[in-house]
Amino acid sequence: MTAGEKDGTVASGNNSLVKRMLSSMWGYWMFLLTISFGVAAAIYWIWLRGSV
Amino acid sequence: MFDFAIAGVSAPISLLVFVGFTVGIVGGFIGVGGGYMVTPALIVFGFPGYMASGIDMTHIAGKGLVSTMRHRQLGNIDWTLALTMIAGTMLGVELGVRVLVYFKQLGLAGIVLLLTSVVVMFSLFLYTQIETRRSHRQMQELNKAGRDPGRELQTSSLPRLFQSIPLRPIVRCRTARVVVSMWVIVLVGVVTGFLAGFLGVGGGFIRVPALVYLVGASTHIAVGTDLVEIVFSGGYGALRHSIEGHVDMMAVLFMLSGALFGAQFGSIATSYVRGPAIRYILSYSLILATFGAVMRLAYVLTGQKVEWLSFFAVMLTLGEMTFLCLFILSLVWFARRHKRGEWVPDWVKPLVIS
Amino acid sequence: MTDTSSRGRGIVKFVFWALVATTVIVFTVRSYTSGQMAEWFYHRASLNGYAVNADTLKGASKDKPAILLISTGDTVSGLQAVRVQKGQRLPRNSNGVIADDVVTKGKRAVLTDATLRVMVPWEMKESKGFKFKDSFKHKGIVTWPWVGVWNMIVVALLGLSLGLMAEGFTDMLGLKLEKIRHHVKS
Repeated sequence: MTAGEKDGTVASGNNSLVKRMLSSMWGYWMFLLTISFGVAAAIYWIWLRGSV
Repeated sequence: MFDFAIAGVSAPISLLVFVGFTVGIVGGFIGVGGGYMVTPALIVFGFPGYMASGIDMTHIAGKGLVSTMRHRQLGNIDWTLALTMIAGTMLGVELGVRVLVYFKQLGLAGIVLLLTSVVVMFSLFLYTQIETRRSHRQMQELNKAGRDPGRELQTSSLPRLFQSIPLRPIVRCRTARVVVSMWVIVLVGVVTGFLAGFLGVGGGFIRVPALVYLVGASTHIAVGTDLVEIVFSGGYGALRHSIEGHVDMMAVLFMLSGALFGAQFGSIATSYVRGPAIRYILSYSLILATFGAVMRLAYVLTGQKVEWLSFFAVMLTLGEMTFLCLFILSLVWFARRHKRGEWVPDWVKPLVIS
Repeated sequence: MTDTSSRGRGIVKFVFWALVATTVIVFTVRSYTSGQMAEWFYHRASLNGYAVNADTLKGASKDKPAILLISTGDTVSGLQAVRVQKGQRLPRNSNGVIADDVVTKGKRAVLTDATLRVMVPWEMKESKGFKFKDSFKHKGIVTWPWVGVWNMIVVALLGLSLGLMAEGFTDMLGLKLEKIRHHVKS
């Protein structure tokens, strides 16, 4: 990573997509929510299926 | 899976430790016991309702102690504020429980409880979210102007109103840097304790905003001081539940083993952020808990026939804990990056300490 | 205080409180697994009825009821029911009481000569919008009142020792946690 890429003044490839997603608070919120419900679904599928 | 002889269920140990850990992080960070997340989760794992409440309360008392000690080290506790509020909180909890018993006798407890949860949590979410966004914007402007926004900024005018009430005795809370009538503090304790006793929760999600917006304490001090209250109210609740036989100590132990680490992370994480960051997480937990309560209310009102409502309530309960935990950990990660001069989103900069 | 001596104190603090926490945990686990805690929980009957081990009734149904032999004594083993009066000590291995009025109603359990037939061992109930199975377990029992005090002592000791252990751990690693400087701008 160049110094410019490290401090965000120059976007590099994949990083620009990630940065665009993180740049908005709501975007970040939705991103974390998706992961969280994925984890919840996994927990449900592994341990709680059939008992709820 | 572990066979809980007293609770009469088999439940996976890893899930109990996971719940203890995630709620430990959230609780240590925003100053809540997490009962409104843990009790539904335990019921989902198969524990009977009365056992879920008892186990939750007992683990909250222990976890609260762990978090309180760390917050004491960080200087986040105003002992004058905490000790003045305790009597009011205990009285409020007792009143709340008696009103709940009254509604139970009328056969309306379930619906009234869920309805009250929805109204209280949604109102708190709305006020906290609006005020925090205003504070966040002001901090961003201060940042852009090259001025240090400080550890805390809040835009509500309510604290000044309550601090101007001249009823003696007047109390000087040195750590919180607040001078206010003792009766305001006691009233805050009674009202928040009443809601806690009625809803069957620790009350942190009501008390933290009350300490910030009514008494005028900083968010960090509200969190630390509230955890002291939770140790007492959780301890009292745990004693009552234990006497009724509603506590399975093995379940408590598993949850505490996760909470030990979670509470440490959560408490120490407060030193990386400014006040509005904590209030944001608190408001998110309120809105997610509101959605969960709405779904459970709809499930009860539809005569328990619409099964997918129950399923979504389960998903929301588990997803909420994970979401809040991830948000808190990511704020700490952003704070460390910001300190090293690495890129962080613009909206994060005013929320973290660099 | 020099860094080395504070790290040394941290190690002592961590080890001491880790030992206290471990002792409390081991003691609690032993009380639990030995059945001692269960005896404290299922201490006395709160009403007149039949003391049973509700876990043995799980598979029962209207077509295949669980048939419990009415017996006397201070232990319930397997499919047995022991007659108890209100306030009486519960027999060992029992964890619930089927009340006389449940037997009189005859919908869930019925008394026939020297046996108690259980047809409906659990019912679906709802709490705070979540469904759960409500069995005879924990019904009609009174816990030994001092269990509350015992639990509180265990939880308080555990919370205190785990918290101090964590403080010792961070001191041991030389992590300095500074007091936050609070100042509210409004």
